[in-house]
Amino acid sequence: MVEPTTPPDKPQRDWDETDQRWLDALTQRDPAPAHDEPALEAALLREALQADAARVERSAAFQAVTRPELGAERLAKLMREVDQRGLLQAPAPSFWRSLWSGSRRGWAALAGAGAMAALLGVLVLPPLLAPETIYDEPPGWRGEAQLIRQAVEQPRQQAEALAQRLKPLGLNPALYQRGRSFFVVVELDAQQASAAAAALREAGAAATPGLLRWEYAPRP
Amino acid sequence: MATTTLLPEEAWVAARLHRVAARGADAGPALAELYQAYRRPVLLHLMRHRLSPEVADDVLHQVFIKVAERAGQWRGDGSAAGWVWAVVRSTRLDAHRGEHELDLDDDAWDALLEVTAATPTDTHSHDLQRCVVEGIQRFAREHPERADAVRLLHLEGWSVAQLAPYLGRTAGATREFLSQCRRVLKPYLEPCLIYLRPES
Repeated sequence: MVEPTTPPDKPQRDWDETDQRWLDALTQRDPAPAHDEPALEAALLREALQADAARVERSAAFQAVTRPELGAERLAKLMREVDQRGLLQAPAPSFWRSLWSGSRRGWAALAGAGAMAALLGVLVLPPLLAPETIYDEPPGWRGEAQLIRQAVEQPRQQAEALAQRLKPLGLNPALYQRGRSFFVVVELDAQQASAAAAALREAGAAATPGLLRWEYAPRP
Repeated sequence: MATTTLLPEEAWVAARLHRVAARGADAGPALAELYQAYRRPVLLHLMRHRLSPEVADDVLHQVFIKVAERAGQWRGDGSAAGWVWAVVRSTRLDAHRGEHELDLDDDAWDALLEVTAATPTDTHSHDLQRCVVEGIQRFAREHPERADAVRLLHLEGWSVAQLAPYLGRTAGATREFLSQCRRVLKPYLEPCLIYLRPES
């Protein structure tokens, strides 16, 4: 299953040695760059990027928008909006703590809460049964991936157990969630795939290098 | 001619993101510090993407509203700075979808290029610089995401590992993407090779 936000890449060739030399020359990580075509391409690109960046940085528009007084004004506007929307407010003190303090208001609230509970049970209980969000939504991975989808009784527990089994094998599984479905995503090189072959087979995957993604959905 | 943006260090960003995520009295000052540290590099980044100053300033505001709202989503197991830049990217893409790009006509580009090329004194360097600037401008207009990736690698000194989560790709897919970038870019800069060859 692929969830692209943009059309997926269609790889036309693999990363090769000339690409690596180009990247090293572009990022200037190679202390003794070769005088070959990739280095020349990278040198031209560096020239272009620097000239373009310098153009923007020197422009009157950039100088104007980065004036310190404008920055202070915009920061004040940001903090006002954050404050008005209560985005950084500390969580409210818990209901039970206010009740423990023995205030009258707390006991009155308890009585009100009892009445509300009956109403909630009838009207809004189903939405409240929606799953708690534990993990981020899976990112829109692009490219080739091995996908394993299973409908299970306890998707979250199954995904977490798989992640726990993979970690001691030197893998770095990531957990994601969408609604009631949980995902485990791991990227393997050939050596890792070979080392973790038994665990991967047990989890229904082939021991091949690349991106692996399990999706555990709840049983219908 | 190198451009520096003085990006804050990872540990510094992570400490402040944690404070914003925890909310309460310490969160506001932490958000303000992040805003002050990121204001210049993010505006530069946005204007390199040809957003007008007004729109760039508005996008920056939206970025930090999202940082305030969503800092709790950063789980602390990835790069904090990478998380902030991912918010910048998604907000910028939203702005691009709103078609707020600064659209310069040919005369305006010529005027800009004259300013850009003012430093070199000899005609040869002038022509080379003009050629490569025009090439990268066309490339950036036609392939903004690819141009973004190579900018971050060269100008911000990012590694493939830092670029991968920003692009929402694996490290392997990012390398493949960069290989494609190189291939796509080549025709834009190839005409400039003539200025690098010894004159006959």
